[in-house]
Amino acid sequence: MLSEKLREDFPIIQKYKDVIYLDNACTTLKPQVVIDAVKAYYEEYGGCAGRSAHRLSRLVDEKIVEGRKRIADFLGAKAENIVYTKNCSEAINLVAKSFDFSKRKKVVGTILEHHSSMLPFEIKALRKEIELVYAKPLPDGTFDVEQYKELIDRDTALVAVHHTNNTLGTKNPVREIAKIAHENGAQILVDAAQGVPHSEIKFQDMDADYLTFSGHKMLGPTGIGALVAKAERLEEMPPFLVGGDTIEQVKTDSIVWAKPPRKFEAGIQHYSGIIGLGAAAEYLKKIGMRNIEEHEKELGKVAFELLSSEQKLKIYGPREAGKRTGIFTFNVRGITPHQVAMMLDKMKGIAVRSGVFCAQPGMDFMGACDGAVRASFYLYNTKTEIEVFADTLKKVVQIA
Amino acid sequence: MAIACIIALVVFAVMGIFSAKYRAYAKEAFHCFFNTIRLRKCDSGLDEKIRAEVVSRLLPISAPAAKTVNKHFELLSTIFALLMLVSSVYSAIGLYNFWAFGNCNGQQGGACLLSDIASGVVINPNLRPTNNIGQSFGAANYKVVVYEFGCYSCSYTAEEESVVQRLYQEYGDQVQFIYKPYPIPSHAYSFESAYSSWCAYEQGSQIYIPYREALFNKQAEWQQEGNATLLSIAKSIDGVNYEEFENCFYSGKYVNDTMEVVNEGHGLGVYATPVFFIGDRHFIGITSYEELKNAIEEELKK
Repeated sequence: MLSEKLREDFPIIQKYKDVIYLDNACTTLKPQVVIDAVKAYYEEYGGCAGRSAHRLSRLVDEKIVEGRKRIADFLGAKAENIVYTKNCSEAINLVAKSFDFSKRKKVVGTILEHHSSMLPFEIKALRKEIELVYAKPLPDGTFDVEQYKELIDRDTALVAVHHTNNTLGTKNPVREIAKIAHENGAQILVDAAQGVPHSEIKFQDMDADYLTFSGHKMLGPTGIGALVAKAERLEEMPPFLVGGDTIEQVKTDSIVWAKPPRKFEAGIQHYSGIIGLGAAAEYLKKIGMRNIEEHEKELGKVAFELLSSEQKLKIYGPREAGKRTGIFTFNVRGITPHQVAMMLDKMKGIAVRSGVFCAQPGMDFMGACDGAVRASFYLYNTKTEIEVFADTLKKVVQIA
Repeated sequence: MAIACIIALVVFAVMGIFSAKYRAYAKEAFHCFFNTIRLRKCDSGLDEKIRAEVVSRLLPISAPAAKTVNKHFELLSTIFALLMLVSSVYSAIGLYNFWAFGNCNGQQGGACLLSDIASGVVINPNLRPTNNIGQSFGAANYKVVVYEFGCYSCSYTAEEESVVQRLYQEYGDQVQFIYKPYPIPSHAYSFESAYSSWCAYEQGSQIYIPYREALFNKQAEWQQEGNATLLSIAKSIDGVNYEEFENCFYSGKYVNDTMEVVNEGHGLGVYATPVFFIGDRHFIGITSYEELKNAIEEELKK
C-alpha cells in the first residue's frame, strides 16, 4: 500500500476532510505540483510558444517541449509521437475522422466501449461509410483473445478497443489484440483513458498504432489529452483540425503541412494544461505506476472481500481478485443507482458515480439498463476509506 | 413519483420566497410536475433526491423505519400530498375568513360574526360591559354578573341558550344575567327581534323569559315569516298585554336602546355572538357549561 502521507499533496483532500472521493474513473483530484505548474504559466511565462521571438515566448516554448518530453518518457514513446488534444474523446475523433477507410472498411470494437470510442465509429457505420462489429465480453466482463481472432480478418481496417474498461476496470489483452490486428494488416487504436492513469504503459512495447488518454484522469488539468501514435501513422494521416501552426507553407492554391505532431495541433494550444500534464506525469512517475496499480488492486480486493457476501448487492465484473482492479461497480437490489449514490454522499460524504458511465450499450449488455453505481479508487485512497465505504454501503443494503 | 414532485413544488415554492437556494429546487419540481401532467417521465431525479435525503436521515436512527419509508415512499408521499391538499384548503378558507370576518373560523366557527365590523377587530381585554343597558334576569343582590352579547337571530346564541338557562337555574340566586341584544345586520329580522324582546322585557320577567325562549326555539319560523310571527309569538304568551306589545313594537321605541347596545359592543370589540363577559374573562362563541360555570365559581370565590 502507498503511504497516506501523499494525501498531503492534494489540497482538495485537505480542504474536505469529510469527503471520501471514490469517483476517480470520472476525474481525479490534483496535487499541488500540478496546480503550481498550471499557475506558473499564467504567473511566470505568459507568451505563446513557437511563434514569437521574444523571451517570454521562448520560455513557454521550452516548457512545452519539456512537457511533451515528460509525457513521452512517461509512456515509453518519442516526443514526436505525442499530439496534444483537448481530451481523449478528441484524440479518438481525430483518428476516426482522419483514418483512411478507402481500402478497408471494417472496424472492430467492443460492446463495452465508452461512448467516446464508440460514437465516432458508430456514426460512420450508420452512414454506411464503414462496417462496425463488436466483441462481446465473457460473463465476468473480460474478453477472450480467441474472439478477436474470429472478428479481425483481412477486411479489417482498424481495431478500436479500450485498454482498461471504465465500467468494470477489467483489462483488455491489447498486446495480443495488436498482434492479431497487425497479422491481418489492420491497425489498432487503444483507448487508454482508464489505462494510462492506473497502469504502467509502454507505447512502443504495446505495439499499438494509436493510443489515446485524458490528462484530468491522471491528476492533470482538464482540457488536455493526447493522441500517441506511431510516426508513420501521423505522417500518413491528414490533419483533423487545421489552422495556425499546422503548416510549413500556404499559398492561395497549395498547402504544405507541417511535420507531425505540429500538423495536428491547430491554433494556440492549452499551454498551462500541457505544462500541468507534464507535472502530473512526473508526479506519477516518482510514485511508480506499478506501485499505484498494486495499491488500487489491494483496495479493490478489500472492497470485494468486505462486500461480496452481501446477498442484495449485485457486483459486476470478475470474482477472482487477480482480475479485479480499482473499479468496483455494483447495484443494490430494489434501489436505484442514483439513490444509492446520494445516500452514500449524505451518510458519509462518499463520492461515487451513478448511471451508465457513458457506456450505455455495455451496461445494457450486462443487464444494468438503468445503470449502476461505480466506486473507483486511486493512489490517495486509503484502506480505512474503503472500509468506511463498505460499512456505509452495508447500511444502505439494509433498506433494500 | 408525481406526488413527491407536487409536494416538493409546493414546499420549495414557499421556501423559495425566503431563500434563492430553494428556487432552483422549486423549478426542478415544477419541471417534474409539468412533465408528469403531460404523461411524460419525471426525469429531473428530484424524487430520488428527496427519497435519498429522507431515508439517509432515518437510517442511522432506525433501519426498519428507513426500510419501510423507502419501500412505501410513493404511498407516504400520496398521504402527505392529500394531507397537504386538505390543510391548504383549510388554510385558504382560514385566510379568507380572517380577511372577511377578522378570525380564521368564519361564520361556522361556533359564533355568528358581524360582517360590518372591520377585519382584525379583537375584544379589548381592558374594557368591560356596563350595567347601563341590557335585559337582566337573576339575583337582585348579585355578587357576579354574566354579560351576554347575543343575537336572537343567531343560531349559536340559540344553541348556547340551554347552557345559559342551566346556569340561571343553578346560580339565579347569586348571579345576575344581563343579556344585551346585539343584532347581526346580515341576519333577517335581527333588529326586529331585538326590538320585540325589549317590548317583552318591559312587561316583566314572566313575559320576557317565555318570549325569549320562544324566540330562540322558533328562530327559523320568524326569520322566514317576519314581523307577523314575532307578534304572534308574543300573543301566545300567557298574561301578555298584546295591544301594549304591538304598540311598543311598531312605535320604534327601542331603536335607540338597541343602537346603544350595538355601540357598546362595537366599543368593546365584540365581533360575534354569543360573547360572554364574566369578571376579567370573556368567551367567544359556543362555550361549554363547565367553562362558564368555572368562571362563575372563580368570581364567586373572590
